[in-house]
Amino acid sequence: MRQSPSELKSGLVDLTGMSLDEVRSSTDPALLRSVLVFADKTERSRPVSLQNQAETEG
Amino acid sequence: MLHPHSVSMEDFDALAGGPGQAAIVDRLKQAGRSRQLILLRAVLDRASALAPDIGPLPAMETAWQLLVAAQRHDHQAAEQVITCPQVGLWAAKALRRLKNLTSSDTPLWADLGYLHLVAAAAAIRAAFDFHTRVPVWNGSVFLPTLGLARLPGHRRWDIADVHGERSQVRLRGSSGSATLPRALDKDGESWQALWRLETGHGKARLGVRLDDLDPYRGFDEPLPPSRITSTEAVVWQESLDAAWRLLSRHHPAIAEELSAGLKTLVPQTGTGRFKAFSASNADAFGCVVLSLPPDPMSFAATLVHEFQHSKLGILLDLFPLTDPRVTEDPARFYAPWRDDPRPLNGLLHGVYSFLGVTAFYRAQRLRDKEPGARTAQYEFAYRREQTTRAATTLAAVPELTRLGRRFTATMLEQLAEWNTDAVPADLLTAVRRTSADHYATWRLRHYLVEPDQADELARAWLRNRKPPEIRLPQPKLRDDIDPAPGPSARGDLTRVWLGDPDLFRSYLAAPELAIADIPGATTADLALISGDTEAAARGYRARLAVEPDDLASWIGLALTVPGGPFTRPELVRAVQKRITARSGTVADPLRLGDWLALVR
Repeated sequence: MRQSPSELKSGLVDLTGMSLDEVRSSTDPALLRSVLVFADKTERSRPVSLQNQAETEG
Repeated sequence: MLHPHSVSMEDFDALAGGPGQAAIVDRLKQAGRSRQLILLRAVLDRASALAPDIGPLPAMETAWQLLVAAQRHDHQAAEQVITCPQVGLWAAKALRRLKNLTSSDTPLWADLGYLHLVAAAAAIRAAFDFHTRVPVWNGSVFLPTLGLARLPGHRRWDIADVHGERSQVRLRGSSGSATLPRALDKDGESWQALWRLETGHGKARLGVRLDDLDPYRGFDEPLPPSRITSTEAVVWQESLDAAWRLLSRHHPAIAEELSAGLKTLVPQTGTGRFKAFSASNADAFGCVVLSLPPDPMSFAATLVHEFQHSKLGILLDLFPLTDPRVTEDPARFYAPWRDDPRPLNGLLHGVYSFLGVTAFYRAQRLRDKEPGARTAQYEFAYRREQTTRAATTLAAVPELTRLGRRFTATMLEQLAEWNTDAVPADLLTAVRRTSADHYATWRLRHYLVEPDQADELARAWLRNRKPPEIRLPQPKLRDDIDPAPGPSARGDLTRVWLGDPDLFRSYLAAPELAIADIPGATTADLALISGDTEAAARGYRARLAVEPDDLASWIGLALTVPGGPFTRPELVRAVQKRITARSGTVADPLRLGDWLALVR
């Protein structure tokens, strides 16, 4: 049986410690990949509010 | 090279096991911050590429540069604004608008102009000299995390120049100007400050905004401000104090977790005595929209419930628990806490939220005194049953990823452990009745029965024969799903029976009081809840004789039978209707249910 990895790595880059100026100007491939993936995911998903009586979907 | 956010398998399993993981929440919060900044970068990239008409406002890059300057002057000041949940919500919305995926009554330039308001708020907090231009909506300028300035004039959309100089902020609009008070945490002339609720101390300290002003506080289209009174704000503070005392005394790990992640409460008007409203949104980590809960215990449970949604929202951003290639997610599952069918994502979120609520009541039932202890016991057993049922459904869904299966299996393991906890017998009976009532109602409202099969069975019944040898297909959902809430009188009466026994006795003595208090309640319902099933059955039969289509009484009658209602109530109902259509007679549903139980 394949053993589970002890650490799960996500597709979201960690921006802790990065200034806003760097966030805007960085060409770090990991950051650019995150922008691409999360922008695409957000654009393609419908905004969903989780509500206890009835769901509203925009 | 930057590194990705990561979560150890140990933490992943701990998250799946329930609430009370403050250290992990800190890391999720950091991931949420990164996600929010990534979305802001994406908005700027898109705006740079598409050059949308920003109307009378400066370029979005100008707003960003002001935000950069604010961060240089005071890192913490900028941090408070850029981590505001509504900024994440706005960024997601702005991306969808720039992609032309959503329409809005708000002009694009005003919607995108929220970034200018974010930058102005950060600059004001950082207290350096600056100048910018912002959108004005009906004479209001909302500065995120701070409050709302009023300007003369009521053009629906307008602009204003904002000048900050020596910590004095002036706004100049097309019809006049306003100077903001130096202390922005209190109301002043032309200024409404966001309410701030503070409670507890040390690790168990909670500080949240009570937001009745931000246009993005309602998760959807921009909302106008809806100012609560100072008296109402005091009531919110006192209610939160009481809920927080309960949480920090009896649930310290949960309190620590909420303290780490909860940022904003958005007050909403309640929808009824037993229908407290609450909501959250995956794009707004740490923000809860809610009506004022009726008591400290339900306030605490609401916070636990909604914060579970927040945590799962971030976790799902980090690791897909369902197959990302499956883009269609139709509403198709029974979720015991909802009256309508749910999509897979909704089912997963619901299971995780109610896992947290079950954990809360499991501990609370041992802390509370009567009658709160009985209510907590009931809520524990009820949520445990609901969550176990839904998690079992979830575990069988093929679209779960490997991690999704592991997450669900861990939740089920936790529930299995809790399912061995003893609960008083009368409360378990009430839980089983309420659960059976809801499931039967859901099936009746949402499952379709093939007319030909119902007709064949009706003909056999009318000929006094055994049911024909037919194999019933898996039930299908109707095409015309009714999204409205189903009947809830028996559930509401059960909560009175639990939480206010004196009132319930008054209802028994004078049923007209219950009928007036609880929409849809009947004397038969009162008899059923009090354990008099014979009187309940007589009452339901009498009512059905007058109103044969009364769904609640039809199911109520089925609930009077030991063992609960029929396996396939929708089939019993459909066949009963066909019998009436063919013969003009009304078949007894209990006898018909027994007869149909012979069908495979």
